[in-house]
Amino acid sequence: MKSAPGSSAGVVSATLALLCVLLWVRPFDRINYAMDAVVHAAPRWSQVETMYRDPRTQDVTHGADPRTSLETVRRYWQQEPSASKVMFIGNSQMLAMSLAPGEMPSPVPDKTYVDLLAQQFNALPDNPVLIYRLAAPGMSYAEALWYLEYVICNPGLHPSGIVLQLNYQAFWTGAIRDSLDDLMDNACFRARVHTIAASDAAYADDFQAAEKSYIHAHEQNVPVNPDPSAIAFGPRLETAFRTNLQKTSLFQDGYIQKDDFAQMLYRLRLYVLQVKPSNARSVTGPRLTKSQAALETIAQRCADEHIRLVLFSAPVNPAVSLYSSDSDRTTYTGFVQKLAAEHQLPFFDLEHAIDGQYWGRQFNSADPLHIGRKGHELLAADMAPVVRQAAVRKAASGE
Amino acid sequence: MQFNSFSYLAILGIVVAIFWTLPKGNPRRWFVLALSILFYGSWSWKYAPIPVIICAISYVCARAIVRNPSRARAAVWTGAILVLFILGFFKYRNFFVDNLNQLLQLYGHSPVQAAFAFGFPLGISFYSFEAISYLIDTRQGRVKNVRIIDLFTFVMFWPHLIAGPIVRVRELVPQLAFQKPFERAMLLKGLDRLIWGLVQKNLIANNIGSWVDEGFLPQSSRANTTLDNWVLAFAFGLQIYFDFSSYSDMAIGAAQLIGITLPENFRFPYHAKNPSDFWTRWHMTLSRWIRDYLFFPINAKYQNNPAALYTSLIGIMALVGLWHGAGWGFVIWGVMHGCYLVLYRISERCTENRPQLAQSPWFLGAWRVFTLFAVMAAWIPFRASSAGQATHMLRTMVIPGSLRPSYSINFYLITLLVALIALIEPYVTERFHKLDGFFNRSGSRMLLNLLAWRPLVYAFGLLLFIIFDDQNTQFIYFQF
Repeated sequence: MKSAPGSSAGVVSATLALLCVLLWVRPFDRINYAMDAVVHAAPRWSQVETMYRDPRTQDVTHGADPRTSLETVRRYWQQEPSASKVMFIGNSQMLAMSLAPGEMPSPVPDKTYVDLLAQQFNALPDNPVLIYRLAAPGMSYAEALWYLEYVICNPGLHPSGIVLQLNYQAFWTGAIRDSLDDLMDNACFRARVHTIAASDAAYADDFQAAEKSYIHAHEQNVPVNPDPSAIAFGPRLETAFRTNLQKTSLFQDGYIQKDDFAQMLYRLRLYVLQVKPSNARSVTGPRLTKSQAALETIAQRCADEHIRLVLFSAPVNPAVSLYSSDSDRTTYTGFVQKLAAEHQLPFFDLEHAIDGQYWGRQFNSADPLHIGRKGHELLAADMAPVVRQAAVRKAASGE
Repeated sequence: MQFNSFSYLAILGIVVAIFWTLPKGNPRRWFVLALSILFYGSWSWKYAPIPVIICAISYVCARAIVRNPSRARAAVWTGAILVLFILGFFKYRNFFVDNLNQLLQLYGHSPVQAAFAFGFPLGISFYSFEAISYLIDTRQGRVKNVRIIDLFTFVMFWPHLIAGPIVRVRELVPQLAFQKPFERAMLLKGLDRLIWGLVQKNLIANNIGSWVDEGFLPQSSRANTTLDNWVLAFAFGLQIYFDFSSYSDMAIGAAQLIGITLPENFRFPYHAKNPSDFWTRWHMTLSRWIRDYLFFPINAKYQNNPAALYTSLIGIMALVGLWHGAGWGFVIWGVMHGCYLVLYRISERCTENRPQLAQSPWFLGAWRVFTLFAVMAAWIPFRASSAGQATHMLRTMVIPGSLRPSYSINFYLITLLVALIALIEPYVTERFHKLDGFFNRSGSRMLLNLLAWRPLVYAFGLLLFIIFDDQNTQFIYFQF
């Protein structure tokens, strides 16, 4: 038993074989299915996956690669110099659909309310309005400001108006996701980010972190010393190793399994701890301060750049109450009204615009944010005046 | 080449296979030394001469100690000062110049520039201390006649070269004869530690780390509530524990794969009963170095002078802080730990004649709770980007304010989950050992162990390591 290299090789071989099996079978996804079955969660198809896609009217990457998307729309907008251009900035409510009870999957891709508005306003015979949806899941207001600064730096992306979604949940999201860093390849924008990062604005450290992350990634891609022999062989070996591993199908799907694992923890949070996105909560601390400061700056920057900013309060499922107390509601609505009044911004309160029957379910409870097919149609009708307000600037400023 | 990189793990597998096919003794010894030098060079060849120079200094001074015992003291001091000079030059030069410039500015003088722009050789704090311990042990007669190849292999042995454990000559050199035959138990123990280390690093430490980074951003920390700062302190305490412990596990595991046993570095530190107990569980090889070479001599000197002893204790802990990094935050961290230790010593003295009180559950429980919270609070200056930020955060923690959470609920839940893992870790480890005993009782069970149970656990560990892989994340202790 003492010297048994054969049995040791057996352990190693069995481990590697089982690892391949685990990479193939996606065990955490299976656990997720089992948990959903136990709690009678909404079927997965109720979260619509085949949504309508049009790179001329949407950031189809949902924040994963906005540079490519924005380049596409820049080229498209250049072809229509006389049209009004309106950008919608917001979170996943703008890009996702959660089918309401009674709604079934459609054989054709579903459209969100922004898609419906884009279709409607683009077809106007006299004065077409080009709508672009710049939405990403959980977008923070620091990210909205990040996008705004980028479009200001790109004359071809300069919109007539911006429709900014406001919702209470967005006040507890923060930071700037790594995938937005690439926008800093634009020199004007990079300089602007640097200025904000060096300022004493409440959101400055989000910009600092993003700037640092960009510089770090940039340094890795562009070696300071062009002599390859001067670079340590460890990192070179690792890069070569990873490049080859990524070619294998088992390793390519690693991020899917990571998402499965994260989803498993999320389900445990929902099903076991009963901590749901629909739970009422208070918003305090740095994220509230940053969000408020970012919104103030967005309003100011839009005014400086003659961009018509229109605010609207996003619909909320009547089945849930997001505010932990009355003071939370007062703080939120008070801030939004003050912002609109101080900067003379049109504000549309659509918080109660969609009835409960048009909302979907998320896992085993009411979805607080995403509406169904009919809900999107109703919201598109409600939002039409919002778009008209956003597009009006063009005539006023004479651009 | 990081321990949690794919290339390292692949090469380690090949290295272990080759090692066991080599004849015992010198071939294995030279093989390990060559690999260790290559491993260090994989980061940068520029700094590879530094450990070699430190080894050479130690070797020459140790020879002088043995040859001329009457000049041994001078030889030890010469060697130690040279090693500390190299350490100071690379690690504390900028810290010294920055502080000097602040003083010069205060008195209206123009600042000075650092003469040379050098980077930081990885692991220098660790192998410098090993070299010094070798000199002291030689002087005290605990170590004799270490061959030069053994000394080089001792200092440069790749598993402990970058971030410890800080090994003693008498622990490692006898094993460097490489006379052990292959045993399956070594492989299994090595894999147990290696894979658990990989999971700790990629799954636990890295994930909690992203939240910690956000909470410690300068602007964010200004608006953090009392609850936020306490949770951040716990989150960073857990992150650094799992990060450093994972490195130690991988180091011990890699050494075990070639039949070398390295000393343990952690023993569930957040289960400590009091501040003194914490230091027998946290970075154990550094604490015993400090205890044996600094604290014991000072303790003997000031045995009858508590005030001097306590002051020295705080001073030693400040030096421990400075060992971690050239920054005042580390010094504050050390001073805070020094104060905790003094407080505990005073408490011990006060309860010397009251054993009933000293053994009462509430008294012991109070120390346990105090230790946990005090240790976590001390991580704030350790992690903060400035003394001002640390002071502000600590003030918010001590003066009760809002207990509302400011960040995503996931941050609080993940911190709680990781705390739970740290809480149950000793019990799970014990169960795992018991299970091992169960499997080893008969041939059929052993077969089940070797072909099913262990491979399944390992494969799950590797799966988690792969899916949570992030090549940009370094080990925190690499910067020390």
